[in-house]
Amino acid sequence: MKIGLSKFSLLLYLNLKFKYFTNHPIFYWALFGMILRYLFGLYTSDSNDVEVWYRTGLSILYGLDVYERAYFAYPPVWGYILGFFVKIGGLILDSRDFARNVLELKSLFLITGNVSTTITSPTFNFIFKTPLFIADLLIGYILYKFVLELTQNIKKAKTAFLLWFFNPLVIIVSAIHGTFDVIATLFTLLVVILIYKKNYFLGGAMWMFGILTKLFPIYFMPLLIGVILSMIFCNSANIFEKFKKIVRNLSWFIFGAIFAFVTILVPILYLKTLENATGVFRIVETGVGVGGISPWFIRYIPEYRWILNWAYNNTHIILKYSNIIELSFLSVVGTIAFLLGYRNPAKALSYGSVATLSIVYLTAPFVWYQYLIWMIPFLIVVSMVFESKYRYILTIITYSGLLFYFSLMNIWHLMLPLAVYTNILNVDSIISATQIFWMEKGIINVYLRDDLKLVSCLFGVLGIILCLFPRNISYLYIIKESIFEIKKLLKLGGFK
Amino acid sequence: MRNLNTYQKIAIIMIMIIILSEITISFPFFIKNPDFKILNYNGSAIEYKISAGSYPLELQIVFLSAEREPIIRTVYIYYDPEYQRAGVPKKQARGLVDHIPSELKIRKYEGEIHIVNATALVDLLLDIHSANQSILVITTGAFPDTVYTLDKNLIKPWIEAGGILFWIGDTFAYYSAEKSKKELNWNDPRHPKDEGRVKFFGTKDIIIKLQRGTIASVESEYSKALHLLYPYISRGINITKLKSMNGKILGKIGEKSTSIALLPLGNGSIIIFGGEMHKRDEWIIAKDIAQIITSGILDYKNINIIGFKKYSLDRNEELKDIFLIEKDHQSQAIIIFIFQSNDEPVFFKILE
Repeated sequence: MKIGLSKFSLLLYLNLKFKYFTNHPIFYWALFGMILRYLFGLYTSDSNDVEVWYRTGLSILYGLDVYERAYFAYPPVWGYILGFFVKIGGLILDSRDFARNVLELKSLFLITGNVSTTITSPTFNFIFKTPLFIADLLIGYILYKFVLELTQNIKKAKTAFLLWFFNPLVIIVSAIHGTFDVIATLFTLLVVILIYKKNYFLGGAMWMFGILTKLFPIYFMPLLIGVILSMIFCNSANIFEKFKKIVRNLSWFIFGAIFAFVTILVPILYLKTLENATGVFRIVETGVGVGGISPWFIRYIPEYRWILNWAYNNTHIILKYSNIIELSFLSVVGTIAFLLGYRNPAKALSYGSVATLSIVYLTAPFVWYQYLIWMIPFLIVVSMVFESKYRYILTIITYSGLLFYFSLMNIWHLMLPLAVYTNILNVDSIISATQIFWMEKGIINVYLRDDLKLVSCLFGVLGIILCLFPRNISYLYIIKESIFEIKKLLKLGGFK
Repeated sequence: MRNLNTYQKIAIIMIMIIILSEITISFPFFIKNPDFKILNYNGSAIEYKISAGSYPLELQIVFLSAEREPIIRTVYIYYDPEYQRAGVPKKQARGLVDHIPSELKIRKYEGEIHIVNATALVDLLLDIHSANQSILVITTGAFPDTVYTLDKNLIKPWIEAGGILFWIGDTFAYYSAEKSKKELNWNDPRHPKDEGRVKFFGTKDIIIKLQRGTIASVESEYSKALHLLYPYISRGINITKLKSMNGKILGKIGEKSTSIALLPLGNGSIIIFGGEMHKRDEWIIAKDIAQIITSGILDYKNINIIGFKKYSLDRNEELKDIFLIEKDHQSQAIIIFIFQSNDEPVFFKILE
């Protein structure tokens, strides 16, 4: 009788939960978005990157650590998540069917250098893309919740979800290309919101996990510290109380970061693969390329082609000066966040995140198209909550990113899994279509692909610059108000 | 969990996923590893059992006969970013420095591994007495001018004293690289050029030059048995000359040349890779080098492949098999080299 009752309660509970999910305003859109991703994602991939996931995943499957084979030249978090999904997936699906070696692609590889001869199967694509799709969905849901909290407007919240989840650039990056930028983006969005919610320990942990996924969240440090300090100064009565709170909140943030760092580092130290793990910094030794959607795109102008070789031979100079410029501007963002952030922390964090990433893009030696998705959630929050103009910037950035990706090699090579594992397409026609595109004559440059890069990067960089000029906040106002706050701070020994 | 907001819940779930991932990867207590056991050996037959473990297993077993115990050699990898390279991009040369030690460690190679620059290379090559316990890998397609010029050759005496040299990159011994940020000047009269090969082998015809990107696809006995993958022959070794010098074809076979060749020289030998290296070829080359070194074919005397077998096992599958040893080899030591033959192999075992 008892068992029957508990079974009934469980069924009732599951039924209620199911109804809760199905009645949620974004449920069917989320379902549709996920189906769309699997439809696009199973038979597509960018073999150049995905080969690394395949080889790393397979090495982990057979018992190695993320870095033991030295393929994986990124911070470890994506390696762990990938390894977990491959290891569990491999218990159910046959690892012998994960990829095929397609020797016909050798000729295309020798021409372009951007196609691998190892083409992963729908089985492997399903395994490694699933965590990316989950991260896509989580970001969409967080955006929905956050915008709803700030605006109390369900329509705006739903639009925020749709703008993210059905953004073509996001779909291309996660579902078609198959790269993990979305996971670092998820951590970064969580940090910003958790700091806004004053959850400093979890905020610190998410920040460090973000850095240990793709390094760029490290640039958020001035903004985050600025806002944390600002919020304390605003809410405390006397100077002693303020400093007590500063120490406490910053300590929680640092503890969170240390917790995440130690969590990640333990297995690397245990398995003694720390030396291979530092391969992520080897770029300094082997030379850095410049270009992409950064001001260095001028190298796509025929007269400035020499910049590429110059950059390879002067990596240290480029990294040194771009870091100095970057840190200077980020310090300004941090200072403004500190002085004015307490007035509206949500606004400071949202605009501050957009400004931080804009500075990163404008000072980085190379900005690949997929880096642009780091900024998309923050652009959506700003456009839904504070300033609708940013929707246009979002459109410019999305399509310039897409055009840049198209300019690299066209889209046909992305369909190699479809050609290798079905009869819908054949490998030879993909090779010839890609070769034709590769050799297509340009108007300004020798090749069309360089012309497309030039155009897409020009628009992309303009879009990024526009991010730094919000319509409803003028720089004059920021300077005036900052001076006012500094005076107040000097007079009173703190904000009141 | 009930008192937490959505963002806290998501953050905690992310932390749990990461910790679970780490445990799964670093301490996989629920995963059964593959295994190979000899059940019976009576001089004329070996009976053995293979178990696949938790995942499907592609396994290859090579049976070799030989005369003496192998030496555990120290592996030296030459890499000096301040010196010029020929036919090897900087990133790939650097990649070999990471990948060769990794692949050797995965194969549980017991010898020491050191990275040497152009200066340390001089000391290594002058230490003739240790040559027969050393392997040198040249990753740059050109010897540095500290050890090799028109008038100086510290390499040949070292090999003749028992050293083993792996060569990767442009034509063997053609260029002499100098310490410079500038690209190597191909026409510099100070390069030994074809004379370099004459000094080593008495003939320059040991290499057949073909168009860049030319690949060989026919398997040789060794490439098949050891699962060696390097395919390029644009600077491949002339098979006729190789045979006349009692060398071995290790790589794949083209019309007249091979992608990897083993040339004996005095008490040592030179293993030459066929001439070019593109993006990610360092992965293949590192695996091939590690496979050649750990199989023992460089160190045993009169080593011969007497057979090899391939297996494809489903997860948790076990099987027993017997290998019959021909009469000619029954008096010799038998070495069994067992390795996974799929992409990214991890299971290796060598038995004598």
